[in-house]
Amino acid sequence: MVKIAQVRLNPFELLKGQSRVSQLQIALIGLIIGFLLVTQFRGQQSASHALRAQTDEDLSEIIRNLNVETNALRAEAASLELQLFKARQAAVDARTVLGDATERLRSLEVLAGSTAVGGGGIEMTITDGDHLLRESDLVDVLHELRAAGAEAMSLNGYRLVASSGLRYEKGRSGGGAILLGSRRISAPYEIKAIGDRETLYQAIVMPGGARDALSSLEGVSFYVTKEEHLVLAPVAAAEETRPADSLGR
Amino acid sequence: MIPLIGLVIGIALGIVLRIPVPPPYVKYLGIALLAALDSAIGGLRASLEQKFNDKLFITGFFGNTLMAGFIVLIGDRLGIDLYLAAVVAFGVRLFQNLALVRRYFFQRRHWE
Repeated sequence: MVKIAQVRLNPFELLKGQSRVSQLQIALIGLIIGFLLVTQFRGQQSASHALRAQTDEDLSEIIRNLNVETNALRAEAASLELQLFKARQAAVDARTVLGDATERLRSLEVLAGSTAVGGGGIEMTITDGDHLLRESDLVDVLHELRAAGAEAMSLNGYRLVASSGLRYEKGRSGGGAILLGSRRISAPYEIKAIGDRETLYQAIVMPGGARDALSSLEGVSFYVTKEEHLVLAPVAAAEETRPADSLGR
Repeated sequence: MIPLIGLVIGIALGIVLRIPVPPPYVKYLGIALLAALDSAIGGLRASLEQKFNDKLFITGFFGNTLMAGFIVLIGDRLGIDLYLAAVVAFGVRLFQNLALVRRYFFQRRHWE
């Protein structure tokens, strides 16, 4: 233990021997300590004051409320998840419906002839040197092809659809012409049909079929070939957009 | 007398200024305060022993305070409660110095 010769106990005289500068410095340190003390007390209090001020009943009430809130939020999260799941399901369903509709639209477009169609099929050329063929002969051939499953057909480059009509018109000089809609068509007649090549071909060349019937006529020759890839143009736009009231009369 | 005046002014400043301390820094401030108190009590003891050196006192005060804050920072970064080391070290010294101050006080009384 340090031997103490002279202890100055009066706190007011403690720093008597110190210079003025160092006394100021010490005062500054006292100031800093006081400042730190108050600031820290305040900081600690504000942190725990809010909860400490509550009674036990209040605290348990707060906890109960928080639990209720937590449960409500959990329930909300669950219902939102369910909603998300339903929305995803709906999106999948909608995609399926859209896919089906697109498929249907495509087949309807093929039927209506509003789009170009490509694929395998047969191509036939019928010559008619003596102008013996009537529209019914061509219709027979086309029916035969339709029955054999032709998906799309064209006659002399014109697409045939449900509304297409063939008729025969007698000319003034005794001869006649075949009309497809309002267009005059003449031999050689070139028919293209898209579908299963073998089936279409067999339907035409079968004994007693279209080829036999036509080939027996004078001046008519009949060529049929299977094609890897045929392209049929869509129905001409002008023919498609007839005014609706002209059909009713 | 002068340190007491400084202390009073500091407390008044703290009350007037109302500087808010964000919760994460309460710990730092607490350690710094502990270090500052330790230095102050150490200074008191030294002056009772008449060994008071103002340069030692002032450098010790600022050095310890800053070092304490630094140790808390390191502890936070390392994920160790390193500030406990500072609390223990400063706390032990604080009590030792207080005990000595008390002893000197009674010795003095006895001699009178």
